[in-house]
Amino acid sequence: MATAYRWSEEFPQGPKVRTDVAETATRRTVRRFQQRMNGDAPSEPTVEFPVGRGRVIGRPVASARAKKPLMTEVYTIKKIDNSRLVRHVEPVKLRNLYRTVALGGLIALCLMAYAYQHFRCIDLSFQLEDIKAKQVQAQQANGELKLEIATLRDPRRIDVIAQRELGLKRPDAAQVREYANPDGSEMAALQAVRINRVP
Amino acid sequence: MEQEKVHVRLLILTGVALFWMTAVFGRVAYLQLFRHSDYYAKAVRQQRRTIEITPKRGAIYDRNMQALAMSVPVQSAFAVPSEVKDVGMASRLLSRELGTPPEEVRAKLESGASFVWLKRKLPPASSDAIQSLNLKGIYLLEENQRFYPKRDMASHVLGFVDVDEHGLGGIEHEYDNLIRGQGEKIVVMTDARQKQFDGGEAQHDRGVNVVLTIDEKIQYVAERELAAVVAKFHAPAGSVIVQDPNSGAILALANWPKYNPNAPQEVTTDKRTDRAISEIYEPGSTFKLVTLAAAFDQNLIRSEEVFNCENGAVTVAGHLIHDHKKYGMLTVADILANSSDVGAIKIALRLGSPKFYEYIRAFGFGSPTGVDLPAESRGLLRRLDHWGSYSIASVSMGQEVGVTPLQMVTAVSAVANGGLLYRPHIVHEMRRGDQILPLEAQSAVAEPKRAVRPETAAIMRRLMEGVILHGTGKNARLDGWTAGGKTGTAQKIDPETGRYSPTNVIASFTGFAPINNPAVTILVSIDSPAGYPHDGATVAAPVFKRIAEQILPHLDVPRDVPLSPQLIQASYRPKKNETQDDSLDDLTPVDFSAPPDTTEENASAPAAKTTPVKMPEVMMAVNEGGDIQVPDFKGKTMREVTASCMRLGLDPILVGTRLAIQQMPAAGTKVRRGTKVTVEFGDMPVRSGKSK
Repeated sequence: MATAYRWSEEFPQGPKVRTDVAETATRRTVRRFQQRMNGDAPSEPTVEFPVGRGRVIGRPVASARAKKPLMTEVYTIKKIDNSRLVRHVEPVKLRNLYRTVALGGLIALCLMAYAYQHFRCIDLSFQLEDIKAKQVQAQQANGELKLEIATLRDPRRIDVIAQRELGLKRPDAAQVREYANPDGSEMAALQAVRINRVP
Repeated sequence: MEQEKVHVRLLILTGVALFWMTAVFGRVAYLQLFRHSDYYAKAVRQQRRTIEITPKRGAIYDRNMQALAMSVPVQSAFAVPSEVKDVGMASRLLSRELGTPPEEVRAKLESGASFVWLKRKLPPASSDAIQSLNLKGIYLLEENQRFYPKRDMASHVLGFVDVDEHGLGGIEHEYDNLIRGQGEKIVVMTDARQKQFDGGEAQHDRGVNVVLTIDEKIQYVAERELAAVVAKFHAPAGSVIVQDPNSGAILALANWPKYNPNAPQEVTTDKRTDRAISEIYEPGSTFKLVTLAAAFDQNLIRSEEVFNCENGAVTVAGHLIHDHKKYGMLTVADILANSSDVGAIKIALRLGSPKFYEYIRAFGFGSPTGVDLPAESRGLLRRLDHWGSYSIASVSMGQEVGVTPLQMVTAVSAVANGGLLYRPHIVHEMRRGDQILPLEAQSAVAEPKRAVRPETAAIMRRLMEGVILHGTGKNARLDGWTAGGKTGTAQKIDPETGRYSPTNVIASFTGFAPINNPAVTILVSIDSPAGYPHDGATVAAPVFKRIAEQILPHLDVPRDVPLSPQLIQASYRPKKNETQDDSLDDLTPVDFSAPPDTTEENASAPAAKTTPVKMPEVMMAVNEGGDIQVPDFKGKTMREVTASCMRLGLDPILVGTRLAIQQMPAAGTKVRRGTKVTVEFGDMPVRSGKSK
């Protein structure tokens, strides 16, 4: 779609018109405008209507269709410079955007944390079960060792070892000496005199 | 045109993508929203498993926390017959490890059951071997097995368990509910490989550990000496009980025959009977203690009082009763020391049947003692209204009444501790982990009941010492300690004739030591010792001596009399069964019936073990102590006696009131510092003879 604009300022000579192609509506409009500018076009009511970024002054469509002038091609060179255009940023919308992104990020973070702890829990459960199994094994081994100790400490076994293998004998009463008792007077002084042995 | 083609393709692609996404998300929505409950249930069935936990049976310890019974996990083999592919091969391989014939294994594997035990509670080597076979359909399951590491020690006390760990007999049965603990089911989560990852914890109680009053070493000594005397006299049975008279705690309870609870299925019921609490016997002369104690407590007799023993024969209600010796005039002390039946009958007649019956019940006879062991007998005591005219005479001699060894030793303990009858008990405490549980009502130590007054008990202790010093119990005299006791030789009823057998007797001795502060009461009862003499003095009294002399040092009981001069006979007999092949497994009791040991001078190196060396007799007097001579306290007041004892360094024990009339040790005895001296106070005896 051709873009019509105020060519009179930049092209004082007027636009170049091609005559070897079929006239399009736009070209027709431009041609007619040119004719009017030159004073050739019949006086018709004109209107302004926007076309693209500019405005085109032309005649209404109904009267335009009544006549079919010669086509004039118009070739325009477009040079657009938007460097001076600055998008207007609305602070409220920007703030909302940031808020939405933050919230979304937070939710995503929570979801990730939930997933992480869920699978970490399962992993730790496996490890816990492994450790429990090792604990059970250790307890079993401990029980077996205690049983072995109890068997080795059997008084009859020790007696047999002492008498048969080591040649030991039970001592005579005369061979056993008692260590000194506490002084009897001290004992008597400390203890209450027992009467009738009442417990 | 090209653009239109591109446009169309894009539209098609978009349409396909939309269709695919619609299909997928639609399916997801369908599964999540409409089929959620079904799949959730499937997941639960797949992942959740219920495991039944059987708690390990609690252990049984002696009073010093030495393990007497404990459970250890072992593997049991079972099969799922439907999963076994090659039954023949499996049978052959398994029979080797299980120790069962291959046909038997094959029959189990070919059965139509979904689960069949191959063998329960395998040894570790067998279970490892079966596991290494890796046979399909053969699995191992962990169970607990009960072990008794001391083998047959205290077997009647401990009891045993069956294959399912149910207690049968002894403590295992009595406290089965507590020792077993409570089984429970927990839910665990498993992954696709059946590996647990979220197991629950067992919440219910584990089995309770039971701590007994039994001392392992005292128990061993009692069992060893019992086995020795049973072997020596070829007796079929016997019992030894060692009790703490000051609390009723049983330190040892030994029966013969005994059994190994690790293999109870190989033992007959007869061997598993706890004779000490279940078997009734007529106590014989030991029951005279009750007769005399009752009479003393009623102040009907005095120890110096003289009775006419009718030259060894008396007629009561038309029955002629003979003494074992023809005694004439005897004091009460001598009646007990010489065990005169006639004298005892006369004392009982003075007491009278009602009072006598009352004291018999007060000493605990005719009713269970309440010991925390199963199958206790209450004994045999006729009700007073069923006593005949002759019953008082019979009962005074220890006949026509049936007692258990435990009842007898408990009654003697009452005399030893000053007249209090304690309930015998064998459970000291119960623990769950480190926590001590309160004892149940039946096992808690009950308040003692008074059987006789303390003065009566003091008199009886002195008289019982006389039995050992110059009576029928001389063989029970201890080296280094005072002791008191009573012999008993009770005739058994011959089942063929229904009358008393002249040959079969129950030889017993019951005593305590030391006299002044008894630490142990010991009863020895031997059933039907062979040979002659076979009375309590010959058979049972020496066993009391051997046991007491070994366990009193173990209990740190200081000697209260100097050692008597010893005849040290340096003869050395070789041990009968000593061979090179003897191993620790061969623990026959005959090996421990060795004669008294020799001194170090006469024992030489290993050659002495096998060659008998006969050396001349050597007499050596060993005076171990006693630099204080006990004064004569007779007629003195309490203040004077106390002051005198404190000055000399003696520990006085005063019984009664008024003036001193008796003392123990006797005046003039050489004792050591700190020796306890019992002085009995009362009215000074009137010197007048009175006999019947």
